[in-house]
Amino acid sequence: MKNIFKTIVICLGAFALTACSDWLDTTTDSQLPESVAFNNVEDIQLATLGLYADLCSDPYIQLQTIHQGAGTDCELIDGLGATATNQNNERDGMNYNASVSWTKLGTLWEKQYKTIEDCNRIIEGVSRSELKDNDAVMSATAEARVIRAMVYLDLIRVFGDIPFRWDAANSDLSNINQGKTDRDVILDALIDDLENVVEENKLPWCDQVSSEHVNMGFAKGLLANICMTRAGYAIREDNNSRAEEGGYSSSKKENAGYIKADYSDDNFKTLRPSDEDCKELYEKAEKQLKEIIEHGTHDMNNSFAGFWGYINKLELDPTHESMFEIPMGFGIAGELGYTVGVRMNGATKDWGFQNSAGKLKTTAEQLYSYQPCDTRRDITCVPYELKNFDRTPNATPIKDYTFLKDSVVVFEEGGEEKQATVTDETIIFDGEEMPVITEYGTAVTAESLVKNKPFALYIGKWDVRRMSDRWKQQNKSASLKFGYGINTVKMRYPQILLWYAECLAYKGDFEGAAEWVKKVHFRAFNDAKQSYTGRSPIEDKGDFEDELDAATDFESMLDMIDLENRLEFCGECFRKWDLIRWNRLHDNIWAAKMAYVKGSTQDDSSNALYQRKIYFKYKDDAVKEIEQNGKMVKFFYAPEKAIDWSSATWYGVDGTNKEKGEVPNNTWFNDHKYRYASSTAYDEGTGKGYKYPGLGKDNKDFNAQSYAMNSFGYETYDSRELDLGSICSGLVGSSTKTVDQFDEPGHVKNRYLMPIERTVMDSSNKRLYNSYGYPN
Amino acid sequence: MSEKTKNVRYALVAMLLLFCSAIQAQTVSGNVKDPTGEPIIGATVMEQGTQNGTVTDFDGNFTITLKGKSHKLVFSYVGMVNQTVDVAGKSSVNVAMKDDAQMLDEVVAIGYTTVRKRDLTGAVSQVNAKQIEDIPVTNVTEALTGKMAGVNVTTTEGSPDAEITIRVRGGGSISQDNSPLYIVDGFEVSSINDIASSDIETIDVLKDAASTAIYGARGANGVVIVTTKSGKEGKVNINFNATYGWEKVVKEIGVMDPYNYGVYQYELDSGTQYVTDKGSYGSYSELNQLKGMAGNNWQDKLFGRTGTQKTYDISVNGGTKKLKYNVSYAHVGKETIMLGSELKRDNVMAKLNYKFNKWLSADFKFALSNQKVEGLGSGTDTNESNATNSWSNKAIRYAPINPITDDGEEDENSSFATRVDPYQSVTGTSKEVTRLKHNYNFGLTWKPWKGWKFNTRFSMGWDNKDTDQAWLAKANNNSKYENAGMGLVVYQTDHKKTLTNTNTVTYDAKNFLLSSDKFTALLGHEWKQTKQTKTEDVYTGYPTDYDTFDKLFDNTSVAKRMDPWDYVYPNDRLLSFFGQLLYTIQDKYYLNATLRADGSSKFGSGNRWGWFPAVQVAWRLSEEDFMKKYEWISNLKLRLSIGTAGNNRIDSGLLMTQYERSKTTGSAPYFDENRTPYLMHGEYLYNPNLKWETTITRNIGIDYGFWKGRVNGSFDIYWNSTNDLLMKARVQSSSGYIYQFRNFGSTSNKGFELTTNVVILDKKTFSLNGNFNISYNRNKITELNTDSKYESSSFAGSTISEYNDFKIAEGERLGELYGFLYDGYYTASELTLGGDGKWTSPDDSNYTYGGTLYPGAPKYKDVDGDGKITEADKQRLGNTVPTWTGGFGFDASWKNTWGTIDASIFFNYSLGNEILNGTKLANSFFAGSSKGYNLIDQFNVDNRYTWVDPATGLNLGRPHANTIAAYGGTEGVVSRLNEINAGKAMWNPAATSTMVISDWALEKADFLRLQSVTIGYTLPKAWLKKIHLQKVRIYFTGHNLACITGYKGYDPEVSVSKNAMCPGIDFATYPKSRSYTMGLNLQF
Repeated sequence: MKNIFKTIVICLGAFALTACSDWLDTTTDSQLPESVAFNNVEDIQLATLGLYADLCSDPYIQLQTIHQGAGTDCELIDGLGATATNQNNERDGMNYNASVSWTKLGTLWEKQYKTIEDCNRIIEGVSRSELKDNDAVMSATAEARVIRAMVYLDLIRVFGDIPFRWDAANSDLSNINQGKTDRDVILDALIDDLENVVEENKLPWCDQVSSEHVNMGFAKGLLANICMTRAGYAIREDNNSRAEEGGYSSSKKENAGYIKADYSDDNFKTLRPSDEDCKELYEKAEKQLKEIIEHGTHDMNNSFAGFWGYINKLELDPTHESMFEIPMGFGIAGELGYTVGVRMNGATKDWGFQNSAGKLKTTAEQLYSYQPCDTRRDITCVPYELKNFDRTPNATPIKDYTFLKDSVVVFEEGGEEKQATVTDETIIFDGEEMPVITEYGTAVTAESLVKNKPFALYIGKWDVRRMSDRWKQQNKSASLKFGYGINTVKMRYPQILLWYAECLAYKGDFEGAAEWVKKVHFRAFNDAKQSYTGRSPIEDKGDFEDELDAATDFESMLDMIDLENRLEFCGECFRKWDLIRWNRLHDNIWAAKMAYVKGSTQDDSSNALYQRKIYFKYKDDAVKEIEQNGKMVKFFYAPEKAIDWSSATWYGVDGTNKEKGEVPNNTWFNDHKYRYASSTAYDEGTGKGYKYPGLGKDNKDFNAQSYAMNSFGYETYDSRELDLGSICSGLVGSSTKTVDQFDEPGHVKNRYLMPIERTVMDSSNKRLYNSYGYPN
Repeated sequence: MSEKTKNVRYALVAMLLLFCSAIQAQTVSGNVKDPTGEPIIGATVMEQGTQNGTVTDFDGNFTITLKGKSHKLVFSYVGMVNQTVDVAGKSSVNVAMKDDAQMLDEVVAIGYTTVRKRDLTGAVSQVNAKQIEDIPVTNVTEALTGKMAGVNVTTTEGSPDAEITIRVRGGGSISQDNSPLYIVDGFEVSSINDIASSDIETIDVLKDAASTAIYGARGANGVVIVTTKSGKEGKVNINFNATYGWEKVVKEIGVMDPYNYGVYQYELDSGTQYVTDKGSYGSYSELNQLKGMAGNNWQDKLFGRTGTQKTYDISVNGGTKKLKYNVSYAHVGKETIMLGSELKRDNVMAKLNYKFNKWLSADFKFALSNQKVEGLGSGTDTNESNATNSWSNKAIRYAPINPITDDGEEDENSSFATRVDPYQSVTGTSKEVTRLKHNYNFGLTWKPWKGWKFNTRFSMGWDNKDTDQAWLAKANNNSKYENAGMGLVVYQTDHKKTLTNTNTVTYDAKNFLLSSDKFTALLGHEWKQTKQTKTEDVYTGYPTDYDTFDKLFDNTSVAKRMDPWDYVYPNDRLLSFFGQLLYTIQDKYYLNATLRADGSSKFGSGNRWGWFPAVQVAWRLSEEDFMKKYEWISNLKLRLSIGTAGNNRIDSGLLMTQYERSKTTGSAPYFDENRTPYLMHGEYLYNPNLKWETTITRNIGIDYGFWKGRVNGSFDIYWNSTNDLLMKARVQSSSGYIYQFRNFGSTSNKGFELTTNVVILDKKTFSLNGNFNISYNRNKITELNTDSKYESSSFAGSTISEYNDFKIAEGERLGELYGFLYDGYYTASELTLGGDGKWTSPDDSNYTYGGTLYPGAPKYKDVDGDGKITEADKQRLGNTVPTWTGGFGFDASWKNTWGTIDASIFFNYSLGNEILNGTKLANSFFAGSSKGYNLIDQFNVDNRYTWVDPATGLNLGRPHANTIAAYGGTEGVVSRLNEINAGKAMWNPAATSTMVISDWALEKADFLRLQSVTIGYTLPKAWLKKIHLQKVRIYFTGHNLACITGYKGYDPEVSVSKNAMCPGIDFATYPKSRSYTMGLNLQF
C-alpha cells in the first residue's frame, strides 16, 4: 500500500513539474541564438569564416568565375556547332543565347543572395552588439562588407538591375518582397560603404594576413573597380513602366545626363554617366589604386610562369600578386584546372587519371596576338593535349643497364656537371625523375597537338604538370573526378596597374599611363628588347613601346590597355567586365571573328596568317648519353614528351614565309632536322635523318600526323562557317559571310546580360520580371 | 516432430502445474471439448472459491483433487463461456464448452480506453491477427495494403527497407509528413515497420478526428493503433511459424540493344561531317557487327537475381489468474533481387501482466528489434547530389557497350573515363544500416473503489540507427565529401531516446443517471520527451591499394579524417492534458466527448498550446422497437462526429535564426589548405509565429448488418479541412533563403468509404466469405497565401528543363501536373533546308523547346499562338493522386476428414490518377548533349525518325555541304529524309538536347493488382493428437502476382519525390518483385 501512495506522489510530482510551462522551453548547445553569437568575439569571427564557405560554393567554383566570365574575344565555352544548341547549359548560354530555364542561373542567383544575406546578418547583428567597437569585431564586419560589395558587383555584372537589401531578412518578409533596384543606386551605396571601410582602416594589409582573406589591398582595388564600373557603359532597361517608376529606364537615365554609346540598342540603350560624374568616379578610383601601389605590399612576381606555379601548387605567391583568392579546398572544390586548363585526354601515365575537361577555351587568334617571345603565349594558349602514346622506340632500348643500378652517375651536359641516380625503373637526371625505356611499347605521356581547332585551344595557366606532388599522388590513385583546390583569384596586381593606367589616361597623363602598361607588358619578356612586333591579326602592330608612346589620346591608350589586358588575363575571365564598361565587348568579339576570317582566307595570301600545316619538333632531351667505365650508355627516357614550341612553324616553314599550305621539301627538313612523313633513318655518317626514338613502328600515321599537323588555316566547313557562326551568336549574330553587325529585328542589340531564371522569378510573385527581350 | 520440442512442451506444462495446489480428498477427473467436439488443450479448471485449479492436457483430460467446500468446478477458456459444474459426489465429468458470443464481439482500442466494436462512435478500421497471419510478409504495414477503406497503403518501391506510406483519408497537410500517428501498446512510435507481424493482435486505424482527438496534437492524419499479443489466462500456447520464399523482378524497362544504341551514337557522331570514317562505335558499315550482340543488360546484372526470404518465429504465451505472459522471438532474413541487398531482423518481445490483488495490477513489456539492412536503396546515395547518377537510373541509361577507343581519343564532353557503370557503383559501395530499438513499458493500475481506476504508465525507448558506408575508389563519383575518386568511409549515427509518462484516472458507472445507462469519464495527463543526437565521421582519401571494404573499414588510420561532426537536437517536448466522457443509454444512444490540450516545445510561448475538442454521437437504430419488425436488419447504427486534431511535425529551432557549427559536408574554406570550421545559420528563414496546424473532421457513418450479420460493414462520408497548414513555403530567393516554414492556407479532403463483408456460404464443411472496400477521396486546396504558384519536383536534376511542374493554387487539387502538349515531330518538309545545312521554319516559328530546329525534333502545342514554345504554353496534363482506392478478396475453407483446406485471394486497386514516367522521359533524348548514353527501346531505329541514310551512312539532318551536293541539293536531302522516315512513330532523340515535361511522359496509373493468393492445408486434429500437436498448417502464398495496368514503368504504385507537393513521379526507382512463399505454422 505504501508503494501505491509513493507512486501517486511521484505521479503528482511529475504532474506538477511538467505543468510548469518552462519545461517546454528547450535549447541545445548545438545551436547559438544570434543574441548569443553576436556578443562573443570568437563567434563573430567564426560566423565571418562562414562567408568564405559561401564563397567556396558554386558561384566562385565555376558559375561566376568561369561561366559568366566567358564569351569574350578570347574566352569561349565549348559552344561550337552542334553543341551550341543547349540554351540551358553554359555551352549556348555563354553564346548569349541563355534560356530562362537555365537552372545554373538560378543557382548562381540563390547562392549569391545567400552570401549577401549572411553578410547582412552579421553586419546587422554586430551593430546591435556591445562588441561593435571592438577592433577584431570591426575587422570581421569589414570583411563582411567587402564580401557583400564583391557579390553585389558580380550579380550586377550578370543580371543588371537587381533587388538590393542592406539589412537582414525579416521573418514577416517585409524587406524581402521587393523588385529591382537601379544598379547605380546599389553601386553608389557600395562605393559609400567601401569608402567607410577603407577609412575605418581595420582591415589588415596582405603583409599581416594571407591573401586568402579579404584585405585592405583588395578592398581598395574592389572600390576602384566599382567606381570604374559605375563610370562605364551598361545596357539599360527600356522605358517600361516599372523601370520608369524605379528611375532606371533608358529615358530616365538620359534625362539625368547619361550619354549613349555608339553601339547601342534603340530601346535598351547602352549608357554611361555624364563626363562630370565619370571624372569624379575616376578620381576616386585613382586615389585608391595609387594608395595600393604606394603601399608596396603587392607586387608582380618576376616571372609570369612563376606566378602560375604558385597558383597550381596551391601555394601563396610571396609577392602578393594575387590580391585576394578564395580558399578552395584540395580534393573537394575548385573547377580551375578541370573546367579550364590543359586537358588530359584519357588517363595518363605521368599524371594519372584524366581529371580535366578543358571546357573553357581560347582561340587561334589569341595565340597569334602574342609576340613570339612573349612568355605568356605558351602558358596561355595550349594547342595540344596530354595523352598516352604507345610509342615504340626504333632505337635499341636499354636492356643492359643493371651495372648502373643503385649508383649515382656523374655526367656532363652543356658544360655542367650533373648527377643521375639509377634505380630499377627510373633514372633521376638532375632531380627530374624519368622512366627508363627498357622495352618496346612503353606508354609515354606526351603533348599531342590538337588538329584544326582554331576556337578550341586550352588555357595553360592551369596545368597538371605544374601541380603539387600531393596532387600528382592523388590523381594517380584517383579513378574519378575530384576538386583541384586551386584558389579562385579574384584580383591580380597587374589589373590594379592597368586600371591605374586607365585612370591616368582618363585625366590625360598618357606618359604616366604608358609607364604602368609597360610594367605589366615587359614582365612577360625575358629581355625587354625582344618585344618586337608581334603579328596581331587585327592589324600589324608596330613596336609595342612605340605604339604605347604614340598613344596620346584616351581611346588609343585604351586600345593598348585593352590589348595588354587581353594578353595578360586571357582565360582568367576578368576581361569581360572591362570590355563591358568600355562597351567594347561586341566590337572586340566581332573583330576577333573577322580577324580569323581574314587570316584564314586562302586566296588572299598576304593575309594568310593561319598556317594550313604546322611542323614542329619534340624537345631534344629524350636521350641521355652517359660514359661509364669507358662505355657509352644511352638512356632513352620519356621520349618526345614535350613539343619544342620554338620549332613550331606558326609563321611559315622558314620563319618568314607567309604562304599557307606550302609543303617544304626534304632538304628543308633535313637542314632543320625536322622529321617528315617518310622518315629517313638517322645516318651517323652524314648526321642527317632522324635519330631519336619515338618513331612509329611501321611509320604509319603517327609521325605524319604528329609532326605535321593540320593547323588553323586548314579551311573546312566545320570550323569556318559552323563554329565561327556559333561563337557568341546571341551577341554578334551567327552569320560570318557578311561583315554586318548584329542588327536583326526582334533581337536586342548588345545584350550581354543574363535572364533571371524561371524559379527565381516565380518565387518573387511577379515583383521581378525579365527585361532585355527575355521571356517572362 | 523433434524430441527436443516435445521436451520443451512437457517442461512448460509441468511448470504451470506448479501453480496448482496440493492434494486432498475428492478427486474429479474428466474431459473438456469445444463446440465442434475437439478436445481443448489448456482449459483452466478451478475449484470455485479457492485458488485450487488445473489445466487440461493434450487430450482435454484433467484430474483435480478438491480442497474447498463448494464442490463446484469452474471451466474457462479463452473465447468460451465459463461453465460452472457441480461435481458433488462425482468422480468424473465431461464438459462441452460454448463459444462466447460476447467475447467475440471484438474490442477496439480508441485512445486511452477500449470499447466493443458495436459500441464504436467513430470511424475505425480494424485488421486482426488472423488476417495478418494468413499472408506472411516481412513488413506489417504491407499486410494492410488494400484491406481498409480510406487507408491507403503504398509501398513506394521494391527495396528491402522501402518506406511504406500510410495515408488516412488522403492526408491533410500538403507539405508536411502526412503519415498517421503510430501507437503501439499505448505509446507513440515513429514507425511500425520493424514489428514482427506474428506479434500483432490487432491493428486499429482511427480515421475521423472525433476518434483521434484524444491524441490531440498528432492525430490529424489518423491514428494507427497496434496492440501486440498478450498472454492469456489458461493453457500454454506455443506457436511456431516458418516460411521460405523466392522473389523475382516483375518487369524490366526495355532499352535499346547494342545495335540500335550504336546507330544512335553514330548519328550523334556524324553530325555535319561528310563522311564519318569512324564514330565512337565504328563506321556505319561496321555497325552491323553490333547486330545480335547482347551487350550489358545492366538491369539484369543489377536486379536479375532470384531473391530469397526466410522467416521464423516462435512464441509462448499463457498464464494464470495472477500472471499472464507472452514471450516471442522472430527472425526475418531476406536477400532481395538487387545485387548486394540484404535485410536481417530479429525481434524479441516479452509481456507480463501481474495482478497483485483485486485492486492492483502491473504490466511490463519489453520489445527489442535489431535490423540490419545491407545494400543500396534507390535514388540518391549518401554521397550523391542527384538521382541522375544513381545506379537505378544508370541501369537504364548506361551504355550497353563501351566505345572503341584504340588510341584513347575521346570526346571531352562525353568522356567515358568519368563515367562509372552501375555495376561498378553497386559493387563498389558497401552500405549497412543497423537499427537497434528497444523499449520498456511499465504500467500500474489501481482500482481502489468500485468504478475508479488510476493508471500510470512509463515508457522508455531507444532507437539507435547506425549507418556504416564505404565506397571503393571506383564508385566514389561526384562525392560531396573530400577526395572524390578515392576510397571513402562514412559513419553516421542517429540516436533517439524517448521518455513518456501517462497518467489517467477513469470512473465507470452503470445506471448513472438513468437506468441501463453507462458512464465513463477519463482525465489524463501525459508528457513526452525526445532526445536526439546525430554524428558523422568521415574518412577520405584512401590509397589506391585499399581496394576492399574490409581494408577501408579496418584501416581508417591511413585515411584523412574530416572533423567529426555531432549535433544535439533541442529536446522535443510535449505536455498534454486530456479528458473524455462516454455515455451510453440502453446500448442505443451513445455520446463520446473529448478534449485535449497539447503544449509543444516547437512553438513559441504564445503559440504553444493547441486545444482539440471533439464530440461524437451514435444511435443504434436496430435496437429501437420500431425497427424490430425488419428482421433482416440485424444491426444498424448511425454515427455522427465532429472534431479537431493537430499537427506539429516540423523541426525544432525554426523560431529564430540560430548559428550552428559547420558540418563535414557542404562547402568550407580551406585556409592554408586546411578545412576551417565556421558557424552557419539555418537553411530556412526563421519564423517566430509558427503555430499548430489543425484539422477539423466531420464524419457521418452507418454501420450495418443484415441477415444475422451475413452481410455487414460500414459506410462513411467525411469532410476534413486542415487549416494553418504548416508548410515549407518558397520565399523570394533574393532573400538569401529558398524556403520559410509558415502557417498558411487550408486544404480539404472530401470523400466516402464503404466496407462490406459477405458470408456467401457457411456450411459445416465449406465456407466462403467475400470482402470489399472502396474509398473515394478528393483533395482541394481551399486557401493559399503563397507567392509561388508552382512547385518543382526537380526529379532528374538539370537533365530535364523547365520543371515548375506542379501547380499549387487555390481551388486546385494536390498533384496537378503541368507541362507541354506533345504534338508529333517536325518532318523535313515542314522546314526549309538552307545551303549552309541549317534548317529554318518558313514562318519563323519554332514549336520545339529551347533548341535548334531539325527535322525529327519533337513539337509541342503552341497554345497561345505566338509561334514559340514558352511558359505560357504550359497546360494541365493530369493529376497524380488517385481518387479511388480499395481492395476486395475472398476466402474459403473446406473441412474434411483429411483436414482443412483454406484459400484466399486478395486484390487491390487504385483509379483516377496518372504518373509521370520520368524514367521514360529522361531517357528519350540527347540529354545535355552528352554522348554515350542509352535510351529506351521506343527509340529503336525502326521506330524513330533518323537522319542517317541507311544506304550511304550520311547524316542528312545536319548535312555537310558535300552531303547536300551528293543528294542533288537541298530538295534531294528533304525528299530522302521523308522517304527513310515514312511512318516513324517517334521523334529523333538526336534532334533535341533539351527536354521538357510533356503529356507524352504522362501515363494512366490505374491498376488492379492481384496482391496475394494463399492456399493452406491444415491437418485434422485427430491425426495431430498422436503427435501431441494442436495445429499444423502448411501454406503457399504468392504476392504481387499480377498487375493489370496500362502503365509502362516498373510499377504504377510509385512516388519518388520527397516533396509531398510533387507526388506521383517515377524516376530511378527500385523495381518491384513478385514473390512466392511457403510456410509452416505449428501450434503446440
